[in-house]
Amino acid sequence: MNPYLPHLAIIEDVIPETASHDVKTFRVAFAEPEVRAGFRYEPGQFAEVSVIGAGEAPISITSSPTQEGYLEFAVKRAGVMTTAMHHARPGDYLGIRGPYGNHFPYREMEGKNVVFIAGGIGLAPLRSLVTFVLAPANRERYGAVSIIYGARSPGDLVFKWELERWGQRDDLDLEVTVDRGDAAWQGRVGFVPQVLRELAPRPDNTVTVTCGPPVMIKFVLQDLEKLGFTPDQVITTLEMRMKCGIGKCGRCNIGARYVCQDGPVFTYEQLQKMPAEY
Amino acid sequence: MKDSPALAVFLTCDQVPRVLAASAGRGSTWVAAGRGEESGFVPYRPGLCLAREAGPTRHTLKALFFPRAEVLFGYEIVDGVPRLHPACSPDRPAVVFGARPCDARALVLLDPVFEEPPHVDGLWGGRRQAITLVGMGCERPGPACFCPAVGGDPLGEEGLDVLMVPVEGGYVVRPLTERGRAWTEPLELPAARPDQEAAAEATAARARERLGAPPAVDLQAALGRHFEHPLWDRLHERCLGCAACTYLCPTCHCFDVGDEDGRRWRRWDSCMFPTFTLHASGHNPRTGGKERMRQRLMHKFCYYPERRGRPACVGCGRCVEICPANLDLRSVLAQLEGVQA
Repeated sequence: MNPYLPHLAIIEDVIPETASHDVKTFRVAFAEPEVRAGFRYEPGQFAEVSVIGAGEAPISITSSPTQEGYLEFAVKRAGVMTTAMHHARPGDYLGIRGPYGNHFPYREMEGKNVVFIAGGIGLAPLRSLVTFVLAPANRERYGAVSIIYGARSPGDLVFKWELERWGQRDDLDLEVTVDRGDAAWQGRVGFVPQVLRELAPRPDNTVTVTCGPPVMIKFVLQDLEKLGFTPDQVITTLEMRMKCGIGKCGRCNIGARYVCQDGPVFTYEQLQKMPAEY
Repeated sequence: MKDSPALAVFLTCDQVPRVLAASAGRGSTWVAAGRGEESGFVPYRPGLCLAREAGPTRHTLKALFFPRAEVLFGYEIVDGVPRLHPACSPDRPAVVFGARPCDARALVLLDPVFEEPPHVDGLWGGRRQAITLVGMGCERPGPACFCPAVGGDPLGEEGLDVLMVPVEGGYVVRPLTERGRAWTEPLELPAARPDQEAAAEATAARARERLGAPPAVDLQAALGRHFEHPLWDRLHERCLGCAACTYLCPTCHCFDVGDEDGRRWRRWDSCMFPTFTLHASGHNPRTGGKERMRQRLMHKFCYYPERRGRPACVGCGRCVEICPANLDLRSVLAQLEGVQA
C-alpha cells in the first residue's frame, strides 16, 4: 500500500477571491467516478493537494460534506506549489490524497450557539463548518449562529459571493469588518477583536470557532476570556508546515501531538497544555 | 512472529564464507562490512570483508528499509493529463547478516511510525516483511555505546530473526523466529554444545559489564517539566546545526517530499535545519538552534515515549562519534537528568 499516491482530480472552476488575486478558490472533482463516490470527509479536515511536477501542500477543505460531488480549496499564493496552482485553469488536473486530520466537533456543538471569528484566509477552514451548520438538514440542531469576519482591506476579503448569501439569511448574524476602508467601502472599519468586544457575545451555552493570523488570534483569545469564555469553549484550527500529512515525516509536531493527525482542530484548553511552538 | 526458542547451532569462523554464499544463493544478502567510517551494509560478494567494529557499523541498517532517497511514484504528463506510476516495495526475500541488536531494535521503534493504521506505509512494511535479520551480538561495545541507558542490551534479541553470539572459534547461532529457522535450518549446522552455550553467556556478561548499569532517572518526566528550563539556552551553543547526527541516527525518520525529473521523491530531512518548519508565509515556529536542539531531544526522550512508552534512541553512539563539535549526547542527557524539579 502506497499512501503517498494521490487520486487525480479535474479543476471545474477557479474563482479569484481577493482584488490582487493572491487568493483563489478551486472547485475540483475526482477524475474516477468511484473515488468521487467514495471520498468522505468531515468539516475541518484537510487534504494533500498536488500540482504534479511542482509538489504537494496541505490545504484545508473549504467546501462542506453537505455539498456533494466536488471539493473546494481556497489557496493563497505563497510558495512554489501554490504559485503553480494559481497558474492552473479549469480542465487542468490536480492530485489529491486524504482526507486527513481530525475535524470540528460538530456533534458536541449541537444545541449550542456558535460564534465564528475569522481573519483573512482564516475563513477558509471555518467555511466548511459554517456551510455544514447552515445546511437545511442541520440548521435546527444549532442555536444562534454569528460570524465575525475581517480582513486588512475590502480587497482582501475572501468569499465575497458567499458573504452576500450569508448576509441575506435571517438565521445568521454576519459582521464583516476591514482594518482600513476605501472610497467604496460602506461597511464596518475596525479590527476583528474590536468588533468582538463591541458585539460581546454571551458565553452561556456557546462555542466559538476561530482562525486567522496569529496577532488576531492572540487578541481574540484575550477578549474571549474577558467575555467569560472558558478555554474549552474556544476552538481553533492550526496551520503547520507538513509533507506527508499522515504522521510519518516528523515535521508538524507540537510537543507530542502531530497537527496532521491529532489536529488541525484543537481547543484553546488543549493548546494551553502544548509548547507554544506554532 | 516470535515463538518457542529453537535450539542454538554452532558456526565456526571458517564456515562463515560458505554460509554467506549459501544465503546469497537463496536470496539477496546484505552484509555488515567494511572498516571505520566506511563500515555499513553492502550486497554480498565472495571475499567480502566482514565488519569488525566495536559496536555498530558507521552507516545504519535503517537505510535498507528507508533509503536516503526513494521514489514514491513516477509521473508523466501526456496531453495535459498526468499519468502516475506507483513505486513498489520489493517483495523478494532478502537477508541482512551481521546487524547489531541496537540497529534491529531501532527498526522495531520505527515500525509503529510507518505502519500504524490507518495510514500504513507499504514501502517500509514490504521491506520489513521481506527481509530476514541475522544479528551479531556485541562482544566488544564501542567507546560511544550506551544501549543499557535506553533499555537496550548488547545481546538483545528484539527485532532479530537470528542472534549470533561470538565465542572462541565461532558463533552460537540462535534462531528466534520462524523466519530465522528458515534461514538456519538449510545450513545444517551442528547443535551448540553446553560449553559453547556457556561461552555465549560469558560473552554477554562481559559486554554488559563493560557498558555498566543504566541511570535510575525518569528522563521523560524530567523533560516534561523542563521545556522552558534555562539549560536549553546553553546546551545548543556548540551545535553547528549540520544534522550529521540525524543522518546517522537509526531512529530519525524525518523526510521531505518533492517532485523532480518525473518522479516524486522522499528524502531524509532533519529537524536541525532552519527550513524544516519554515512556512511558505515566512513564519517559523522553531526559529533558532535552541528550539531545534530541544525539539530533537524532546522528541526522542519525551514526546516519543509519551506516545509509544519508551525512548526513540537505541544508544548506538553514532551521534557521539560523528559530531564535528564534539557534542556528546550522553553528557547532554546527564545534564538534563541532573536538573532538579
